[in-house]
Amino acid sequence: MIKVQNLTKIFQSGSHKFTAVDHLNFQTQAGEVYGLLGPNGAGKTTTLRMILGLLKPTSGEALIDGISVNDQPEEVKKRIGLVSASAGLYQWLTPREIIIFFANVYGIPDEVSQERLAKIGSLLDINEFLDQRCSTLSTGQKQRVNLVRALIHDPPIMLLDEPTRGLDIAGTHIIFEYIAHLKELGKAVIVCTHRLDEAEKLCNRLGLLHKGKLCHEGTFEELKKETGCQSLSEIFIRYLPELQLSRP
Amino acid sequence: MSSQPKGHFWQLALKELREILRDRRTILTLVLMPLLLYPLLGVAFQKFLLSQAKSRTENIEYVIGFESSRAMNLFQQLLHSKPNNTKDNTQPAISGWFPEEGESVILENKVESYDIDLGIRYLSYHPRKNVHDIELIFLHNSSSSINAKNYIKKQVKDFNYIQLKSTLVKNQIPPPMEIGMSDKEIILEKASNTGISLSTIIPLILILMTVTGAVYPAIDLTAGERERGTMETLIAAPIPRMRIMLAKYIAVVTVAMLTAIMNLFAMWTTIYSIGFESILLGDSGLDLLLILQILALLMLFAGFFSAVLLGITSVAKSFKEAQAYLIPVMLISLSPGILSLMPGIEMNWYLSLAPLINIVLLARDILDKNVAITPAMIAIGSTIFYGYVALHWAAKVFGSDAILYGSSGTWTDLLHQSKSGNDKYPLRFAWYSLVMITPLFLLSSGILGKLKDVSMSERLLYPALITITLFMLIPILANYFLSNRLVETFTLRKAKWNHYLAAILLGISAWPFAYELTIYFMPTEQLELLKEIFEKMNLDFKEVSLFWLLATLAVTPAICEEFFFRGFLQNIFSKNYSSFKAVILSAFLFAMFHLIVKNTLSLERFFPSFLLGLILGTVYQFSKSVFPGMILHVCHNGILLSISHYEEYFKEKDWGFNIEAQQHLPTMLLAASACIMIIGFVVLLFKKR
Repeated sequence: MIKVQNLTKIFQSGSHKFTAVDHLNFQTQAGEVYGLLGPNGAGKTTTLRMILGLLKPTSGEALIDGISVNDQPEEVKKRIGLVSASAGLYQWLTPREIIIFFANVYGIPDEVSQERLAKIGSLLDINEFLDQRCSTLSTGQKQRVNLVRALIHDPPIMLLDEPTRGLDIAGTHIIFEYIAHLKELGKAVIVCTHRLDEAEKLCNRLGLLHKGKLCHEGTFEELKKETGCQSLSEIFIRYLPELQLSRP
Repeated sequence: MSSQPKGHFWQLALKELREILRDRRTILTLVLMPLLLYPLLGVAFQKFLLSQAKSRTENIEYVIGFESSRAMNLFQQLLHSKPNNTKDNTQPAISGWFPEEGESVILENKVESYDIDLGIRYLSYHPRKNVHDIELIFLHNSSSSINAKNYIKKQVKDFNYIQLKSTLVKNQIPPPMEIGMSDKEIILEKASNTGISLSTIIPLILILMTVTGAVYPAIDLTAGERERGTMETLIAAPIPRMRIMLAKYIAVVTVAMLTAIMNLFAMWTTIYSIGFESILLGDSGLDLLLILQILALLMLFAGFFSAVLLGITSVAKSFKEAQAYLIPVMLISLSPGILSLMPGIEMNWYLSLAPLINIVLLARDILDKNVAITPAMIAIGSTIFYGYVALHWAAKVFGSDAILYGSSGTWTDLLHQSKSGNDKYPLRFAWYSLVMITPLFLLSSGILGKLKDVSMSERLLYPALITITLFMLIPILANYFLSNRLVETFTLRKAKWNHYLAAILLGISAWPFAYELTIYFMPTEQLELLKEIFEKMNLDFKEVSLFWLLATLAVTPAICEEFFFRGFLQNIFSKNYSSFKAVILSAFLFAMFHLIVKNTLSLERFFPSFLLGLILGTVYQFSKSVFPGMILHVCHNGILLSISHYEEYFKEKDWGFNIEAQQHLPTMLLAASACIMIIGFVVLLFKKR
């Protein structure tokens, strides 16, 4: 469903170069949650942005259902829902207006979008503030609205970039519950998160990204076996500094 | 490829409008500001005018002109009053004027040139009715002329009444004598240079109103999208960027139009309420046609400004950055408004292509009811084109990698810390130097233009010294702070022999094309103006030797300008941009600095200077040395100066060099120059195997 092939991004300004993503390769299938994990600046967000076509790769490509994002970015965009921690909302509009607007942009008929809004809205518990100005919402409420907005066109693929950043325990729980639900619905999900405990439980496979390179990939059990660590936190603490030192 | 359902675009536009119109800050600029501002301004203006009028009533004096002394005497006799100084505390003073014996004068011209306030033409006398017919000639937009007309009308009416009364009292049989009177209004074809004229005020207000209205939405819908984190979501949706930008454009134009209409409404309500409508609009007042014309102009202004503002704000990554970009734009926008107030500026074909200036002049001409169709069409067409280009640019930039994730991102921070590569020659170094030199250049041009009582040699020496200071010493000083090597900063390297040879060939062959371009773009009136300037300055080159002329006007500017524009600016540009962009940019800046001649703006100098800049830039790009360009530039300046010095000689020989007569060069000379130029470029490209 998602196939990333030799994806590379080099940022350049004058004679300066910085390799943010370095020949990345991985795949994700329908009904699978792929956890893209790594420290800050590892290249997770840049990877997601390239998969969605927001950033042009320096080389390599991402294929969504066999469609290259480089060739047909708009076809790819139709198939993906993006939730990013940095995504904001239009403060003068209400959640309902924003969600219906995006449904319209993705070509969803009004009656279908209303129906979906009612259904997902109930699941994510946003109905009580649907007609309130977004400027009055809390961080958790805004993030849930963002999730509904990303799901309104029922995309087969979801890209979630730090979807629980800034949320409290309850807010985080709701989001991860819903990601599990998405898995059941048969969607392919790539999630970047620092909530390693949740990632352990939720992700079918994990990819450890460091300085733009995929260092390790596999199920949590495979990673444990490979590193000898018992948790992802342990792997991060022990393993990644070692990796940094071993880099040429 | 992608099927977009109908209605997307309008949904997009609706969302933008909804968002911007709900914003309290929009409402503030849209409704509250005009509602509060104009009445306050109106009251202040009224108070000011009243205080002015009070002080003026004590000194009112009208100058009345007649066609002859006989006509003036007759009029004096009829009114039983002397025109000269019949002043008391309430009556204005009247001065009479008539032409000298044998002098032929048209009263209309005298009124039009403000020499007299009112012209009185004696038409005829009807003995049977005992009626003297006169004509009052006044200027439609001059308050003193209108007041003088009204005053004389009242005097004549009073006179007729007294005559009638005395006749009746005496009970005489013949009909009483009376003066029959008719008005002749003069509507000026050219913009007046005195008094308040609606046509000069409206374009200025239009600019301010539309810019005020469009600024906030333009920033909010572009830079604001990024700042609040909604841009990524929008770009992630399957909508073409041009469509997103068009929706934003519609929202900005709508708010700009609403603001402008609101301002117009508040302004006119204020004008009417304080009773200034006749001063501003004349007797005809505000008719439907004028309203429609103003609305159409508003639409053009709003359409153009909204596109330009979106083009600028789309580059910004934050509100603050967008505001920093827009302040200079707004200041620049005011200058064409001020330009339209200047007398003698008329719409011609090249001004009709100049962005912003063209619409201000068009607005002035429409309100003056003096529109030339072709330039007007060019102005409208070019404005729409510029708007489209700006919008296209905005769509290209909006949501691009650099804007979406640049600046505040971590990558640029990382790069700024680097000490290697082009950090030795950062782009900002070039821009800071330009910012420092430009005002000094303008200031010195102004001061030089005012030089009096100095010899011709000194008159030439001072600009040369200023050129050295501005284009050599200041960049050298700036380089000191960067601690870079002079040789590297100003590319003071040796070039190859073929580069020098190419420079000589191009230097001796480029001037005919620069000369032809100058002739082509120089309008007759500009030529006259330049002649006047030179005459006024008593610029007689023959006072000084050719050697001094060449040293001050050819060699010094050539060396200094090459040092700065190619050695310094293009060197930095080429380290930060592609070679092509570096050549274009340095040539453009070179041409811009050549627009000022002796404190006067000469737009027609742009193209020849730009051409020369391109050639010099190309030579620099190939040679990577400043020296071949200096040789080329000296050859070019030297030849043009020598031709000018020996102009009389060439005229006598009929060699075909006469810029004053706008004479084109012989075709053979142009063809030979083209051949030498081609050889020059071939030599430049020559590479030793």
